[in-house]
Amino acid sequence: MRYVGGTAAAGTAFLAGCVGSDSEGDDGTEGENGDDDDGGNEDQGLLSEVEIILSSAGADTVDPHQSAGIPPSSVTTNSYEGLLARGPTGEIEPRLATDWYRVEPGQYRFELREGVQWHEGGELTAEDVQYSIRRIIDDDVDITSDRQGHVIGIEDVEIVDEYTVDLVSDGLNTAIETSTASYLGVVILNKEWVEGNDLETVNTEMNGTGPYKLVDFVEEDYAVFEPFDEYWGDPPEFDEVTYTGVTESATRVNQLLAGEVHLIETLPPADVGRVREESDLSVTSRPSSRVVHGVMDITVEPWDSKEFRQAMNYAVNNEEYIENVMQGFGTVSTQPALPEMFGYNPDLDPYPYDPERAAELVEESGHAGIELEFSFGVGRMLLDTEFVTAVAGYIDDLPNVSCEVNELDLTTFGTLWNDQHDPDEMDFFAVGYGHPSYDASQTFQAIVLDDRVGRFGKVESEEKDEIQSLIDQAANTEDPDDREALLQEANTIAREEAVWLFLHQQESVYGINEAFDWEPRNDELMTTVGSGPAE
Amino acid sequence: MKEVLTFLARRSIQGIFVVWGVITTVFLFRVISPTNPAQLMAPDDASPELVRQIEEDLGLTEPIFVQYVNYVIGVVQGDLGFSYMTNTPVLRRILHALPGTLELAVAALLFAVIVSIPLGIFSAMYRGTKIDSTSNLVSLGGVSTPNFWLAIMMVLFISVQFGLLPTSGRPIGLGEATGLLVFQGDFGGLSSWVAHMILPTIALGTYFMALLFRLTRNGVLEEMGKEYILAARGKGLPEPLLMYRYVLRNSLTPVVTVTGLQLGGLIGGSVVVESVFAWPGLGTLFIRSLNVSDWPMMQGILILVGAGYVLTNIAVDFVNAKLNPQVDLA
Repeated sequence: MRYVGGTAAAGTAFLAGCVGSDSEGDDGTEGENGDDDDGGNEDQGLLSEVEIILSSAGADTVDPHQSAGIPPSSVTTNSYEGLLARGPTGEIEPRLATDWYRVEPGQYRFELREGVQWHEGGELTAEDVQYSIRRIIDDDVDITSDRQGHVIGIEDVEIVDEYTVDLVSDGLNTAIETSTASYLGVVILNKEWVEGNDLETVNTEMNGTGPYKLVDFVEEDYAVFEPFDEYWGDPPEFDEVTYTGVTESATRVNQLLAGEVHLIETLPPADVGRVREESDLSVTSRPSSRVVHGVMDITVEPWDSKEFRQAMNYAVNNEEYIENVMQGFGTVSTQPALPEMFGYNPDLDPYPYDPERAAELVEESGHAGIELEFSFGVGRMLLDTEFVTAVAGYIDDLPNVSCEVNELDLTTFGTLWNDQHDPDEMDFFAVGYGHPSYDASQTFQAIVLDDRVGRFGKVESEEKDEIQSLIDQAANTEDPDDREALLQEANTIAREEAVWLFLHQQESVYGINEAFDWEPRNDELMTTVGSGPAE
Repeated sequence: MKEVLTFLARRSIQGIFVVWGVITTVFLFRVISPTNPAQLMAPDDASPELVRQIEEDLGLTEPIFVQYVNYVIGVVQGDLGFSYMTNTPVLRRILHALPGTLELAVAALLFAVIVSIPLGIFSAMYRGTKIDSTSNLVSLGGVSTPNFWLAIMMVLFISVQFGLLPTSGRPIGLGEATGLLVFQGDFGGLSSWVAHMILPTIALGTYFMALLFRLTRNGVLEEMGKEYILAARGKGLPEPLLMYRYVLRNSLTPVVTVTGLQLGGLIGGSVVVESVFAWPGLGTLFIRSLNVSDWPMMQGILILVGAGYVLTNIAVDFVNAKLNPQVDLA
């Protein structure tokens, strides 16, 4: 929490500053909060100021169009809203749009909420929506947006009247709802404000429509919000919301244990017990949208062999390492899609743990006696060193394969992974891919069919064409049941082809103070929208 | 006086060359680094076109010599460029992080000096007694305790277990806190500042404290064994006068030198202590920039660190010359 002095800001109790106190109001500064206009919460002993600790550096910018990361979105979703949004388990909810429907293929209509106020005054109009979407999809409007890959198939926006817009696309574009509901997709900014300010201002200040308005922000450090009184929806429940980025996990845990903060991201499983012991704290977790898998560079041996890829999947005992190494915080992965996604095939089983079958398949593939290196970048996935070591261990246990762990720093890993990819340096590596779109086709496009870095789609094959055609068909199928069947079929083929070394769906683990009523989300977003003090 | 001015002028010119060397070296590192900042800035699923677009926006497609000249011209004009990560001016970020680091560095050094020098003298005066062996043991512990471990232990016991001090963070700076006190009569800011400073100061200062203690003790012991001290004592000079006027003054040279060098090092921020205490200083900023190959930010910080070293070195030489007439300003 930022200390701003007793009278400088309404409702700022002396919390972080007070020595050894973990409840506000017992240090004599409470009296100075007289200008606290809705301080009723504090009188009832309810939490009125909430401090949230992110495990990354925090937001690098508060311009949502210039970042497509989860941590910045956790911060910006307090102020900026999209046309639609997702609830904690992925259900679509209205935000700035009240009604949305397809007028005809290629034309999707959104009716906007009327009377929505911007933080700095003025009302939301169709022009703002048009400008915001163009700012994302069109390089010639202001910036080249990081979000282009998240707003799929939208070619332009037409204004029908002041409160109605049509999103135009070529073809049916079944991904429109996904793109407009994802917090990494369409987010609406104020046209006049963005155009009237320089980029630095847009990067560090906000003028949104959301329940909280930004009062103080330092990039990659902290952001402080206050309630916006003219919010169109349910009134915000906190007098102050602070986000701080703390990369050191021990520090986050200590902050929570000392009662200084209310919610911490990525509680290390080793500290779960310490947090559970405290009566006012609890541990909460939720399967995330992050699918952890081993990429096998299909352009080189031995990974061009389907038998060898399958052998790796048979060799790893996912359940055992999740239970013992991940302390249960993970779910065995059976296919590219996650259970929460549209197009997930519930009939598929994970590859069973069968080292004998694996050894046979290795023999069949003709690569017996091969030496492998399983690489990863340290620090991106929960307990990465631990589970990568375990997985490499299982593979190494095969009689005819040896496998070592290759631990890389994130920068080196990122470079090897991307533009300077060289299979000689790295052809087998673990990554976690998260995408909050809840649609399997997105996963397929991005990390199965993609033609980069030895992904399955890099090499032409019958199966690749088959998956591609299923995904393409799905994109042009309006009936949800038919669409789902197509995507499920794609998952079945992908599993059989062993397009990845299927590992696990990562869980997000949080430590939370029970005074804060907050629900973890599948999409890892840590927004305060929809949360409040515990009764 | 003229001598002092010549000294300052000469050393400043030397300093400019040192900083220029730093700029050039760091720039060369950037050139030979295999990582592509554009790739790191782009989202994971970015197309090669987007990456190229970003490279162009960053000016990375220009010839290296042009980039270098542009950068040096910018630095001379006080423009350190824009952060790759946040698109905000580097100088703004550095100025935001600098006060935290400076406050901590100065506090840690003050803590070290205030504790170590009296303790060193005391220990030397009572050489071989229990006082001496105890302080030696403590200083051995101080020199050999890793500061991150000390930091974590202090937080665990003092903050988490007993709730006496906050675990981490820097909610208010000294300037702001003083402002609150002076203009609004609000003591809260200052007490918050102090409360948040104590643990990081001890964690950062303990090693220097132990180091300075040993330097002081050895220096004083060596000086006390010299004949002029024996003569002065024989002459009947009072012990306190002898101690402070002669012994201490003559044994301070290494202490001042080491203190100055440490301060120079501390200006870059302590990565370890800053991360344990979630302290928003230059160390944290540097390590974050390093992780994402934010070269403009790293260059900015290194230039500042280089300049900091140059300045503290000038100051050290100056103070040493004042303390010891044998040291010449030339």
